[in-house]
Amino acid sequence: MIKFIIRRLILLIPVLVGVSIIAFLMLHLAPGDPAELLAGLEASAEDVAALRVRFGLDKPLFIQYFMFLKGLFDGSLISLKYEMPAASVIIPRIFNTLKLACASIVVAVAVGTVAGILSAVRRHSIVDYLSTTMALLGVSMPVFWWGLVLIMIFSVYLMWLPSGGMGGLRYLVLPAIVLGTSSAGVIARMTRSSMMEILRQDYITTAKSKGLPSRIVIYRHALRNALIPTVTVVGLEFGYMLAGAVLTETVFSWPGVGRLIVDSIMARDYPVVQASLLLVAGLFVLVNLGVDVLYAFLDPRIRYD
Amino acid sequence: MEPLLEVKDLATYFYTDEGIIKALDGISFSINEGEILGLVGETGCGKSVTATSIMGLIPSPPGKIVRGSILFKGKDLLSLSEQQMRRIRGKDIAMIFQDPASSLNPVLRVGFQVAEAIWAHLKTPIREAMLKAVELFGLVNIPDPHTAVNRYPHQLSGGMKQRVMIAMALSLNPKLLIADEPTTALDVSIQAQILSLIKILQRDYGSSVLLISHDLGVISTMAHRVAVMYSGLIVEQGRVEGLFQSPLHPYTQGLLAAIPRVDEDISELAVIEGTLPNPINPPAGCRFHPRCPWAMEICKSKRPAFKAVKPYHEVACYAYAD
Amino acid sequence: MTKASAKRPAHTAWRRLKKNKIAIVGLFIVSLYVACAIFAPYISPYDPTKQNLAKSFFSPGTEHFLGCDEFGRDICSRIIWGARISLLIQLSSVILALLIGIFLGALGGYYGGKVDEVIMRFMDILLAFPGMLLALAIVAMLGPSLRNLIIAIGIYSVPQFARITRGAVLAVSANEYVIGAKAIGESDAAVILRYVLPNALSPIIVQTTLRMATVLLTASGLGFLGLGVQPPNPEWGTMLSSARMYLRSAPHVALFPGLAIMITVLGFNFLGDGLQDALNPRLKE
Repeated sequence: MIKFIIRRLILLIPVLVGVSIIAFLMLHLAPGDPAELLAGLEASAEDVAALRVRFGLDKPLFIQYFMFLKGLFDGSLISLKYEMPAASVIIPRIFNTLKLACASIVVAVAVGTVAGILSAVRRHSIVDYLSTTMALLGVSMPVFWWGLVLIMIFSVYLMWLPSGGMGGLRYLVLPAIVLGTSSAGVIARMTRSSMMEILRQDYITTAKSKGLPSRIVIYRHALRNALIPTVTVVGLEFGYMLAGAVLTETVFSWPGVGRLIVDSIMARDYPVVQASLLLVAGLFVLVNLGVDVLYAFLDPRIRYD
Repeated sequence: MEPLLEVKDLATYFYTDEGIIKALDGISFSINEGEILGLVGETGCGKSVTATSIMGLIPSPPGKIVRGSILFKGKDLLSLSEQQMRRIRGKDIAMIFQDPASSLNPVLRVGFQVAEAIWAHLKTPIREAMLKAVELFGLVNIPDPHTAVNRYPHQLSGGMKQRVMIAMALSLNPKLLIADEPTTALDVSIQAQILSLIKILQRDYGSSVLLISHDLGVISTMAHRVAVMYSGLIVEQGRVEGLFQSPLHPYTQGLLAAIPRVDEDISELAVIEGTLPNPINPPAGCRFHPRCPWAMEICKSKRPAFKAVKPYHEVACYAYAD
Repeated sequence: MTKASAKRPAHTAWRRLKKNKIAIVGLFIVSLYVACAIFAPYISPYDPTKQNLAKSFFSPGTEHFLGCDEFGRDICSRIIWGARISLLIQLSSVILALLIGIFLGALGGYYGGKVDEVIMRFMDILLAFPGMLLALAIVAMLGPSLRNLIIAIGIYSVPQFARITRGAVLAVSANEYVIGAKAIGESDAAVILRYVLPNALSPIIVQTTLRMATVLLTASGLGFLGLGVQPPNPEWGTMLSSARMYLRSAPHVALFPGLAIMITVLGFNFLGDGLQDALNPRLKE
């Protein structure tokens, strides 16, 4: 198991290097002079020249790349807007996003698996049609609009919950529902289809032929197997939430990393954009690795050597 | 003596998009106490549906038992509630499946899967039931049963898995054991071991066995009596010796002739012309008539009735009508 | 399956699709959407960009079916014209992704080895940016405009198509007829185009339909963030972005563009699911 994790971590290295190169090149692939981009539209020629030296933009590209990586860790990569190390700007925001993502995934898993199981067990019943339609609706919902609708209902008309910002649990409810909706749909669909697939397996017939009550057949024999693919989806969805939170965070003014990226793009704070992209992508691939490990843990058939 | 199991005019249909599949269309047979009945026929003739119908495990929808009765110890299983049926499954009637690899739950330890059957009926705590499982594993000749119970299915060979299935089936000393192609998925060398295990246990436990197989060799060595199925119907049944020595139905004759013999020239291998009929639109009358060398006019319109041509040997064929 | 239908897989698929009510609903929604896009100039009641401040926040009614926005522009007309922009984005970005994705996937799957390794690693790198982050990064790099949005969303969809094509190519490359075609000296390009790709068609069709849904969500999301189609163009997400400010006073301005997005996305998802069932009957329950 340890060997497997280490091997997977090694395989991640080229991906992370690629991601860092893309994040680094963002500034250079953009049309125009990077120094002018950084300095902004109103900057004078002297400002641009000073900035070019300050950011090492006069150096060869690969040296700049290493400076970028080094700067991310030692704090010399400075946010233009906040004038502090980019990492110190980003990391607290990542924690805020994680907080939101955790709440959302709880909502999504709770709603999604229950709906999926009910659907599969009572196939072609009203419950099934209702839940599959709801699941597809959830997947098709534009999050930003869904957020606005919920704000309209619960904040503007009913005045039950705050429309944005971060604070106690009350502030978490709406954004967690909004961010979790699409994932709930995905999880419900996955649970339903894998559950139905499992219920057709021979060992389910065996379990029934032993005279086990259907409750036991469904929850002990079918669900455990059906949840294995679901776990992968949950992990992937959690990873997507780290970035998909961009829209939810914007709607609810949640100070997470997604909104930071958008704000930094608007403010041309390129160091923060680049560093956030790298950190979020790095986190995402680590979450995916975690999912694979969990998968292995759940399915005794998978061996690692 | 009253038979242990008596199936009368059983018909099981599957309602699919393409049409109604008449998987069983009125079959009747019985099994006496301590008897092994072989059910033989080509793939798709309805052997497995017979087994699942008796177990009450026809997937519904699309499947449905449309008529007939299944009397077990005189009681019609079809009239029982799901609750009552559940108490019979695994306890009075147990089943062994064709493919041991897919019949065991991959994420549960094999010992637990046996213990669970005991728990389901006797409410024995799982820990005690596990001890019983160890005992059963020894009985079915699984080496080192103490370690084996804690293994997952993928850690065992096919033959060992089938032994686990047998241990599971025997765990509650069932009156009737249904074995659906129990050796088809196994290596030839393992097949004989598993068959002799079933035979020994059947004798020691005094269970009756419904042995389903497409393999006439298996049937002839194992069964006391045999029923031949063709396209959802039984066409001939009788004692093994009589039926194998002098088959009456042209289909049975064709089946027996199709067995390659060591002493025969391969080129003379007889094959029955044609294929199994479409189960959605089976031929009228005798379903075998399109392939039958003896087909007569009446065969095309009216289904032949069973007739005892010899003692303990019945056939449904107009060639034996008076 | 009968012999006649086996010869005409498209016919069989259509027969199956017709039986699927949800898929037909999806097909209807998608057709309506495409019709709106094509006939926008003829069916939209007003000029979508014409301002009339006297009618700002006009409520839905007989004069303006869905009301007016903050500048007094007719929302219904803007939604109809918005279909045109959205369809343009969807089609061009998905076609871009299809061309690059199929090319890369076929290349990797057919030649294998180092080529495959490099292509697939590169796809892994693109997929390491979760969700719309990649599109967001590209737009940030190129600057917000319709063209850049299409490029961004196109690139962001490439890995999906590359993976599917590669898988399908790998699956058929070992078949005898492909080996036979190679043996009689057909060029690689001819083998790929004539024998390999047709077999990848069903998964690509399904993925294309489902991708149209994702692309619309992403494009409107970027529009909502102010990084997509720029105002005053009536893109649905962009419309929502400004409507957000007036949630309290005029909720209808935000309601309808969002509904338009949701219904259209739902249509593509319905249709994609139906196609999946129709083209892959094995997966059907």
